[in-house]
Amino acid sequence: MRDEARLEQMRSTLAADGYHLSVTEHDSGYDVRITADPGACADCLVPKKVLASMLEPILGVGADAIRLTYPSDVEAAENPTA
Amino acid sequence: MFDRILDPTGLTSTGPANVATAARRVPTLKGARVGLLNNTKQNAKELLAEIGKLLESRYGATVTIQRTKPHVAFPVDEPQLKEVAAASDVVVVGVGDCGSCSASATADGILFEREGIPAAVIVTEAFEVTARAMAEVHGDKDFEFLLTPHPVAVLNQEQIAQRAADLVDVVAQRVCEAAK
Repeated sequence: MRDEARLEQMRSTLAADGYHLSVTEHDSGYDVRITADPGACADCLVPKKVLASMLEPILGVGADAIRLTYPSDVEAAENPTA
Repeated sequence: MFDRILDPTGLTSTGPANVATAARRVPTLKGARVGLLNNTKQNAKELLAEIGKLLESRYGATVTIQRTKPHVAFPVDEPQLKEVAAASDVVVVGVGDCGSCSASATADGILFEREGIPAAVIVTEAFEVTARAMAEVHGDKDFEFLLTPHPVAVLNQEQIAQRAADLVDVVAQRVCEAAK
């Protein structure tokens, strides 16, 4: 069972660096999407493995049940030759 | 070619058990060797240097080593951990002034504690949640880091000196029983 209060805290701390977190539940876990404000500091976002580990106790599932999408993933999908 | 792949969590499969471990605090800071580990964030080096000076002038400690991490978002690597630990009785780490750097600075502190070196980790208040979450990832959810107002990056020289003056006693108390 996910901890909404801690999830909101995580949203707030990400927002301090210009990032936004949205969570969608699916059959076997969660899709977690991180979007960035223009000019957000790229180095300030924790690596995916770290964020997945942090979200495990908050979402109440293992890291393998958390599908993370970062701004860099979206950019790569939109510009596959870049 | 990579010699090895860095784990951004700072956890290793061959390292110490992933459980809370606090180093023994030094009995006094007089004559203690202080290591400073700067994580490359803006003003981190300056703030740590000021705290180091105050630990020397107020407490009689000596700054013996100052190092900069190669990457802000990753915990200290083992060679640098060992180097700083070998030259220090206590370590000051900072500044956790963003998400990734507050997480990695917390991991650094936990790694030094497991190495037997008391560590004072400085994190800004905006990233307390990230630092606490990283401590939990390391099996040390109650790890004590030191909070300071956010941000540090925009402070001028005078403000950095004031911030160091505000922090030095809590840094001392974190690493030394007698300073409490």
